Amino acid sequence: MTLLLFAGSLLGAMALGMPIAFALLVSSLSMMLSAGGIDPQTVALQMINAADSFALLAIPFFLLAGEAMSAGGLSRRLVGFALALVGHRRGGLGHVAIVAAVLLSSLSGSAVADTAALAGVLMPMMRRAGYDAGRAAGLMAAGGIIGPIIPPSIGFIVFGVAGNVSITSLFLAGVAPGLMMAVALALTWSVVARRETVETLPRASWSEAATALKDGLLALGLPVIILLGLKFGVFTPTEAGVVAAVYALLVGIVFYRELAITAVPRVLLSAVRTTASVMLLVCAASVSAYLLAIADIPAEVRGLLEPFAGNRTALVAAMMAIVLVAGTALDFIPTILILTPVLMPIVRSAGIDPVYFGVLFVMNNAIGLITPPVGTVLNVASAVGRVPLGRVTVAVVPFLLSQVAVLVALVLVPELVTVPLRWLR
Amino acid sequence: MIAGLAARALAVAEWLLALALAAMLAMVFGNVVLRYGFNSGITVSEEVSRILFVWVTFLGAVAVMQRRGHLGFDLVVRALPPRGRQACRIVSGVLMLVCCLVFLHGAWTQTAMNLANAAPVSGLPLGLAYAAAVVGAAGLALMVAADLLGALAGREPPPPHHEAEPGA
Repeated sequence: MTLLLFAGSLLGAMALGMPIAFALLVSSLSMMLSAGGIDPQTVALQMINAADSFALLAIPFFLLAGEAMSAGGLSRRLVGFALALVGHRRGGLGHVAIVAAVLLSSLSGSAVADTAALAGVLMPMMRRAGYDAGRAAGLMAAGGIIGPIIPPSIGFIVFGVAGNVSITSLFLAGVAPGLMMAVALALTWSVVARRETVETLPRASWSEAATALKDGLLALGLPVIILLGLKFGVFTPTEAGVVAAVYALLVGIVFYRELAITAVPRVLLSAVRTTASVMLLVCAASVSAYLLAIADIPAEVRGLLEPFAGNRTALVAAMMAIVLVAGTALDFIPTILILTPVLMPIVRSAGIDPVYFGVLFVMNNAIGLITPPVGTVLNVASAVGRVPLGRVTVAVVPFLLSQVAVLVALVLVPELVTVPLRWLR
Repeated sequence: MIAGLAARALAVAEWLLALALAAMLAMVFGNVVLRYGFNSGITVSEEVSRILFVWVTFLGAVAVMQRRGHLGFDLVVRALPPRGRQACRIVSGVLMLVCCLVFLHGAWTQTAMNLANAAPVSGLPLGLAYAAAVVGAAGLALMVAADLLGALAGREPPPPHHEAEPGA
């Protein structure tokens, strides 16, 4: 009953067109009303306590790192690094995009930023070489969503805090599945781009390649520091965020000299804005999550999932189906925040590893970024790549299917997530 | 004129928040360096960073609101005729105003209660963090009320600020 009220009032308020953060508050108020009355203290305390969190401080730091990366030229050089590695191969620019997507995602936690960086550098080159522009943009959108799976990842931070799961474990667990997504994309690309007649790039001269590799290695120092630091418990995810931000600023300002000191305030401002809009959602969602928890939603949902009792694979598959459907129409962070308090009690009571579930859940939500009608990353690929949205939406389908196939494989064989995690931990 | 004044005040506030982020960066990074380099640390840095973070969250939310940058879902509303869109805007304005006022009421009480309580390490009053919620709730309420008045007077809403989805 409470669940129905929560979902109904939330969707109703969203349909009116108000910001989702407010729709979450409206649904909280309606749950309070039905439970006896509105308590302003609960609203305020939940909102404030949600923001008063050292773990969530990782969000502004990683966002700042991302902004500094693109303003400081790290993103561009990583694409150049991938170009020097595989650019001369047959169908090469597509593989460059995939390698670059993996490199970018190991520095940034954002699918939107990764897609923009990829499309900005590679789309003009792919057009000139004669690739189908729609297909190229579709590939970059699908490559961009590896961003939230390979650490760092804003999605993992938000899920970890909302679901009370170790963010460090989530980060380490995301590495292997992210690489699997990249392999799936590369295979798909080899098939769909087989018949394209394009010019291959000349192999870069040794000195050019050396410069690109040297520049790229400097940028790649960062993910190495982050991963090793987290693995050996040298720092918390929040401190990893701060190290990432300082490193990105330092490399952009001192080594590449692309980020002027005078431009730093703009970078900070931009990170503040994104942080504030993510955090208002987090705060509003914590009110409804609290009300759901005290209304014993877990028991209600367990009833709904009775048919799956005893079969974890079927249960995970059912939850993934729900997330996939929700993800087509809902945005990334809101879906995570809305569904985590509903699904986590089931996950825990069914004895499913929360870290394993978190990886699948965030990957599923990332896939939602390239499904219409609301596919933010498709919009970015279309806008930055200058390809009509309709063409990108059609062209992304084979890549989308290959990533759904990875998701299905992870549902069927949990060891694909848990075994590599054991090596990394 | 009031709108212009509000915009300017928020622009100043945003730069202060950017400064706050720089301070948070310096404090938390300083702590990491001190811990590994010098086996010491600034004990207050975590507490102060968190207070600043609460301000970034709530005061920042007002600034984002002013730019109409909060994530929404407009597929339904866009499909409606102008009158229906107008009605939705008014209803959602009223509901949002109720949310802001409930939040403001609670935040105010909590701030008053916590003004005298000191944070465990820094000794700063806990009310400092709660005050951010008061400012944020009041700011959001004013924004929503202004938009609601505009809707009632039949003025078109300013175009939303299209930025890529935050955090995705």
